[in-house]
Amino acid sequence: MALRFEVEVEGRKSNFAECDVPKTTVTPIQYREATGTLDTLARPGTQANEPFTLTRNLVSKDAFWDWRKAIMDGVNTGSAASYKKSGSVTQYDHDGSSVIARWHFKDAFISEWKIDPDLDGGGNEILKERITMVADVIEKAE
Amino acid sequence: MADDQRPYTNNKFRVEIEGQELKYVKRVTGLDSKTDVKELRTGNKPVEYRPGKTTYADISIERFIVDKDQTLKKWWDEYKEGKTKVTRKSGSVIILTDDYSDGLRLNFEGALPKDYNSGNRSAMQDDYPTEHLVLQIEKLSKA
Repeated sequence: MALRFEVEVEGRKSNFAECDVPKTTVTPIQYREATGTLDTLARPGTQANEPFTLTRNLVSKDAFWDWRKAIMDGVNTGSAASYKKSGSVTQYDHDGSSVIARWHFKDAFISEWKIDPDLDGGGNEILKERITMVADVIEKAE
Repeated sequence: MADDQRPYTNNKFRVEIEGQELKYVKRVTGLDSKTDVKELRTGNKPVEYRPGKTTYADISIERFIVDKDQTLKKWWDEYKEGKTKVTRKSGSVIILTDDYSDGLRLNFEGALPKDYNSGNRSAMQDDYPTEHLVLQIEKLSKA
């Protein structure tokens, strides 16, 4: 996402360096009716939400890590409140004040946590952590 | 940590195995944990995602052979001999600040060596030789 954006989870704003736009896919189903035209008709079928990744400069333990740790340690999957969180991704204009677009994600959990790039004595890059989430609901709000 | 610490870089780090610092580490890869995503598709509501089991990528440690340190080789030998109890070790990868003091610690647990390789030698090749140990781990966490 370009230049100025903001990620908010459960009311807390966090600073990220890169962010995927949450994406939903719908697989169409094709069908025909024998008495109609010879055209193959289509209707929307299964809906799925793709995992999306937020990237930030590596930091010490924080709320995101606590959230991730709870999922790794095992959660009571019956009670979504214990491990699922909601938030939004907001895209700003170049001046940083006017909102261009906003996506809400609901009931998300962290499915992958990765440090990138590799540690290398001869390297010359900022160390980042990539946090991949999957959400039950994705909506474009603005 | 210095007040003006900028974001960490990927070239300042150190490795500890069972509390002992491993010297001359060139490269560490595989700091990654993945949780399976299970789809719960029921007839009466949209898809719900739930976490499944978590797996960790193999951590590989590459080290310059410029001293007689046998830590990695010994560990691999123990594993080859099937001494599971002594072989399973914990360790840390510590990300360092600009002035090489400890910044952020990542702990790994239950590490078993999967593969060891100390490369080939060639008289024409004048890079320092390295040894390479691949670890299968059971847990990776921020300390």
